[in-house]
Amino acid sequence: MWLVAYGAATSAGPTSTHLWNQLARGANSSCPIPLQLLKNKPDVLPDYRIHLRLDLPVTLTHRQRLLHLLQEAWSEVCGKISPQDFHARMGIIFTSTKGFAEDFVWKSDSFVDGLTPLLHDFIKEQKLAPQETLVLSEACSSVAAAVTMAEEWLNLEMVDHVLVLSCDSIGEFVIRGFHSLHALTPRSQAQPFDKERLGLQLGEAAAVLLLSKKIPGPSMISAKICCEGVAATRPDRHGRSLQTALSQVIGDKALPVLIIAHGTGTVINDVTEDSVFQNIYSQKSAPPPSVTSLKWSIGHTLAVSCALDIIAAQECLTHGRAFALAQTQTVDETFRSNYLLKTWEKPLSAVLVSSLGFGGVHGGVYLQRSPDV
Amino acid sequence: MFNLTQWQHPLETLPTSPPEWASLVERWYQLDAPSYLLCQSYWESKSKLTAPPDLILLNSPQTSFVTDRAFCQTLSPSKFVHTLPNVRSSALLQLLEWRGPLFSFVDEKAKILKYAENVLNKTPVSRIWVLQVMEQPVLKVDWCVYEKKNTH
Repeated sequence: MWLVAYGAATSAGPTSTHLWNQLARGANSSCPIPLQLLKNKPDVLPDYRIHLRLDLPVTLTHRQRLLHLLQEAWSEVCGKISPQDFHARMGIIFTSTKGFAEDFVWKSDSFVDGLTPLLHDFIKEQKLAPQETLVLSEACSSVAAAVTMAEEWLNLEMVDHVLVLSCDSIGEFVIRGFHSLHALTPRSQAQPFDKERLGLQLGEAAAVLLLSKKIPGPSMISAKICCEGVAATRPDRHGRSLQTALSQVIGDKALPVLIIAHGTGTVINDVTEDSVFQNIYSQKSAPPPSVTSLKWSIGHTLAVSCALDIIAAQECLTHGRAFALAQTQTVDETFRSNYLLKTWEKPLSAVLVSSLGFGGVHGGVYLQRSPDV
Repeated sequence: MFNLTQWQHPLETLPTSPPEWASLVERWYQLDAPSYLLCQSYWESKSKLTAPPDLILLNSPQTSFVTDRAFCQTLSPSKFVHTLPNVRSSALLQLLEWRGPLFSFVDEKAKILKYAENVLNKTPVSRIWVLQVMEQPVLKVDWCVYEKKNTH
């Protein structure tokens, strides 16, 4: 299937161009946590930094922020292709993790459905008429799962086009949650794959991907997920499920020279990814891949993160350029892939995206430049 | 063509003594109620399950709301790790010693069943488990086990 069009609203700005320019500049958009976000519990947190759209008022509810960010990402897609071109037989897969719950989770004792109404409001506001809709919640691999599901929908001819919508906002729930896991870096910068990496920063974002077998796009895209039951928050130490997902999505296609890694900057995740990359490339007697990631620039955007990795991968294919891990100073000496500390330029034909998620859901996405477009 | 077998398991209270499968999963005592129930219901249903699934579809229409509330009250990391609906499958997969595609939905059961039947009818997939977890007013899991007729 083709990746036809996409949009991304991140802390870098309202479009994927803002994201790409920020990555290419080696800049990051982190800020101190606004006090308004931490109003439910008195416990003082360390001086963590997060990635927010500072041009949006902090008085917006999380629901309003999510809809605003989704609207921006959707507008970018509509600027590239008219919705009339994919309106017929279109399906929507919607993903989010916890952002939707921030407005009520601290107060309500009975179940509040915050997720499906969010999708329904978006559909109503944009006057869409999808033939199928599904809401997926698959942690930080949600979009890898959604793209896998979209491919199935198209193969089964349930629909002709699929919109993958993802959004997450950052509030007290996830900040205190990741704090409790000691997963947030107390430093001003996140440093994936650095020998002194201490953890991640969180970021809000929304993204829209338009996938189709009937409308050509700049790349062919496919995805696979593989789930395992090892532990809730860490992958198998040998990364067996990630390796399965990546190997399945590569199949008999050429090994890409560039990987966009999940790259959280946590000690264990980065080790797992490096180990898997080494296994896959050495088994095929290929040189180690070049690896980069983007969470150092816009934070870990949870359900949206794999969508942004896909968009960054497409931008690398378009520009023939890979951006650096701009905040990583010294790569962990035990790692064997080629972690990019400087940008490089060369024509690219394919990029691999690697994705890890809580609960043992791991995914791989393969983008191959379309020769005909 | 396929066979569909369905049953339901409720859980009134979380036991405090170790279950029979305790040694087969990591820190059983930290599981939230849906995770525990998925394991216990599998353990009690093993005789009905002829073979491992090719695909698991987990549906949690009420997300992980009850566990979310427990985290708000305790700020405990052991609660936070279960505040995503897909995480409740992790202990079950340990018990099954299974790796493969599992999709975690927050949606209507009818849509998930329709998708499962589409996959069975049009792809080589032979066995699909559809598991739906509800937490309020009563904690329960619905099992729908699909099997293609020609797989035996």
